Amino acid sequence: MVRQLAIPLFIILVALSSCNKDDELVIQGAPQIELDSETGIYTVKTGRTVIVAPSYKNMEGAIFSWTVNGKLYSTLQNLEFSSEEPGDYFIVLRVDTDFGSAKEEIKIEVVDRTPPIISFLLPPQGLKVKQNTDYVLTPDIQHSDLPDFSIKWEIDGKEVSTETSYTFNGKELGEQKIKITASNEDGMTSYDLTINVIDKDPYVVSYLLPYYAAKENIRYTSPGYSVYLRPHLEYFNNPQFVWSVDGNVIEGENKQTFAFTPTQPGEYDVTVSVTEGEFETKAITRNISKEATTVSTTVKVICVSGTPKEKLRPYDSSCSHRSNKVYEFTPAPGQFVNEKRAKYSGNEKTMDLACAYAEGRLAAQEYVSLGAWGGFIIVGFDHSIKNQKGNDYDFAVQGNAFATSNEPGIVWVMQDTNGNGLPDDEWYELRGSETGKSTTIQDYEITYFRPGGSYSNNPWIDCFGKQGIIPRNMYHDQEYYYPIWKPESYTVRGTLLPSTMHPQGHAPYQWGYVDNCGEDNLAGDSYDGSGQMNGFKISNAMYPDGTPIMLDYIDFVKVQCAIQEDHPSFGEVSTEVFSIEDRNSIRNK
Amino acid sequence: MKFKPKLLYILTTLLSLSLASCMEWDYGDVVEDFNATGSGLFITNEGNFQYGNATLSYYDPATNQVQNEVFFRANGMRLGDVAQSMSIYDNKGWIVVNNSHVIFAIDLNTFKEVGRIEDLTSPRYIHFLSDEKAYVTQLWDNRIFIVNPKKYEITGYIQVPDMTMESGSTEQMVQYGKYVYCNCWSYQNRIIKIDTETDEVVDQLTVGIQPTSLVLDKNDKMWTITDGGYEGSPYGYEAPSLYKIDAETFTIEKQFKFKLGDWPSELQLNGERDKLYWINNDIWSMDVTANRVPVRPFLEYRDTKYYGLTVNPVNGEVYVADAIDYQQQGMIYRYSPEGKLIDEFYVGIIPGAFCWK
Repeated sequence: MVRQLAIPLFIILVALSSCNKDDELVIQGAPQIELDSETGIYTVKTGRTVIVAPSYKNMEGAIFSWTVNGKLYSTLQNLEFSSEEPGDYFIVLRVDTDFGSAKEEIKIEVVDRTPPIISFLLPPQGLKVKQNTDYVLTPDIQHSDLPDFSIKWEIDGKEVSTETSYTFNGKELGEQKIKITASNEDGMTSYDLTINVIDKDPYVVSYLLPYYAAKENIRYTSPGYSVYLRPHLEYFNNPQFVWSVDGNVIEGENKQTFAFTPTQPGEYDVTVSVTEGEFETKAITRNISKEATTVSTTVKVICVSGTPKEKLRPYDSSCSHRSNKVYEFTPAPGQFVNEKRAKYSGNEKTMDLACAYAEGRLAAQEYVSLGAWGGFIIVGFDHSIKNQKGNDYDFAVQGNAFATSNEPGIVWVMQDTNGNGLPDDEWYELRGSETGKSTTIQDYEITYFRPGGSYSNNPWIDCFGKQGIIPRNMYHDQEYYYPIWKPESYTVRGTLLPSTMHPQGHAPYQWGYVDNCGEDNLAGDSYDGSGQMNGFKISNAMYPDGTPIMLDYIDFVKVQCAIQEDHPSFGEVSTEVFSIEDRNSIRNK
Repeated sequence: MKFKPKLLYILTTLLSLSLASCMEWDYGDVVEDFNATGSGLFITNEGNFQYGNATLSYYDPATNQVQNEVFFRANGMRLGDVAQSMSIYDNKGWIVVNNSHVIFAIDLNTFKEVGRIEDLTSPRYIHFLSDEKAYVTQLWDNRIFIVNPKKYEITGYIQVPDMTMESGSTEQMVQYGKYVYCNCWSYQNRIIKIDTETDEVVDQLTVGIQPTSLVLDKNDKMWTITDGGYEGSPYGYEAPSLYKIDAETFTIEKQFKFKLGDWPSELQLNGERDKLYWINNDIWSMDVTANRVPVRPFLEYRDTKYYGLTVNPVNGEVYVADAIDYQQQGMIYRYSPEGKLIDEFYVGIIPGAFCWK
């Protein structure tokens, strides 16, 4: 052994002698690497070069190698790296000398360049403005904090401003095109905005549809059953209403809601004329005066013949206790919307695909989350659910409430009055413990807007002009909380209940709501978190003014989230629905 | 939403105190006779908060066999609400059931209850000092309870200074000489030092927002990892950090910063206590002598919810608990020390902590 060691020792001595400078023996140790980054992580944008310049010790005669995924990338002392492809690049630096080697792994995060992103929340019907009136336009611009940021506004190719806001005043009637161009060190973006200049305020009087594919401005009812007509308004400050049926003005009907009750089958044209009430008639000359703007919308009410009972679809042994079809799934933005963990494929880009998603979830008794306030689901059955008019519940909805976590949803029911198998008839809200209280807001409306960019909060505006957001949270990182199958904006209407948040959670309401540990909570095993269920009676159906309506049966059920509230840690309050089942058919089987 | 991160417990504990009087043990009729000799791994499954569906699982790595609900099956009663942690001392398993305000002691082979310490506030962890003395940390309480494990009795309290009941949180404990160190997590930012002879807090060290866990390595360095709070938290929100703290001098030696928005947790050591593991979306590992956190994780994120972590002290195998969606049965993944998947098995709802027998 001693003899064998002698030769390597000799070689080392010879090697060491080469370090003999100025008659001083320097013993070189193994090389050492000290990175110029505390974390070993470097960030660079696509197409740009990052230089990694470590400090080295004992590097005489060193050979450097930088390898990316096992492939040699560079043999220089410093690394210059760039890539057009964003992503994480793991790079191993190795330094070899005669006296040893050293190795470090670094990561280069190549991220996309971030030129400005310009976004505008536009009204659902496009941007219409009144002639000769100032409108301040302030787009949301992301990445305006990067160096070299600038913005330019152009109308018809002519620069009109370089500020982040622009005051538009349309002199000419018709369409005007504004081009906004913003740039920063990462690039340039432009946004084309079309403004329609009109001679009066862009008032809107329209009707929200009972379901998304219903025909516009057609409503169905049976003789003796009321249709409560309530137009959706935009831009009015002080609207005044005049209602007429087939051209005949109905005296004394001057509210936004009009209950029309045909007694005979037939078709009726019901028109509402809405006038801006703050306008004062102004004389222009002795012979000419300017009158207030009136907007009229007509809805055709079709009163079908025959009694509802003739259209009842009875239950038979081949029927399913549970709902068998989802007709519409319109959640409000929410943390579980589009999320893979909630088993979205990510491809739900149409209402049909969204309904198929929800249908599959309900079939498996897995939760469908309705998102924030107003989000809803409409389901149907292969038979009519009868009103037993007794103490038993007619149908039940499964949620996942427990003692301190209640996320109430309101239930609406519909009879297939026109018998076409579609939920395009009249919705009736089921009475609950909060009905009629001063804190309950009926006919509340919110318009949700698609966020300007991905990974952004979800803006909304309500019918009182109040604005807010459904914020993202750290637990749910999908690109959009906004349902990707919905258009750029959508309006939902329903009843708003106050939050029951208290420091320990969310208390339940007394009775009448889905996903709520109320008195109507049916016995069931709640241990797995999905057995909680509330019972409902069809005889609690009511008209919007609270008048009961006696329905002998129903064909469709809508569940709608009733609370608007967000907690930074737990996200928005959102009703969850697992299944909807006919209790009568279960009892009578 | 019904997502239940651990933070929810803070919000809801007050109510649970009032509910405590309604809690009853659910005794079944049939019990099983287990005889799990040899080494194995206990998994405490938290269950859904206030559902009383916490369970205990037992896994034998030699045979790859898992037995679920062993506490219920051996004792004919439910474990309770939110099983938080488990420790072994004196040949007994001590299961801390947070929202049932109890610690059960079980036989390690038969899983049968041999005793219980009741009337705790909101217990989180137990640390044994002797056969007759242990500390029990609490959430939403400004006291650490002193208990006598032999008599299953509460014998006293350590009052933690500058802590209200509402913001009270004491968590994991490690011992260095006669001192026990404890991280104060929820709405807190410090490590406290307790003299076990006087049962008093004698010193404290400020770290970042919400240190989640605490371990002591083979070089007598303590490590804690903060979660940084959350956006909108009244207590603040910052980039989390991993801290290396010298136990002798009780000073921070090094701070490793993470990115804002990261949420690291579950700091663990291997058997040699020379390698750290933690969860930060991915599973990470680092030598205790390292100067920086590796740039590449030990195990990559699998689009799920990693919730618990442990390392087999004997062979360095890594076990990861996956809470999936907090509703269904959770899953345990078992990896070789090199990160190769060896086995996977279902346990109870929300598996959160492990205990090696």
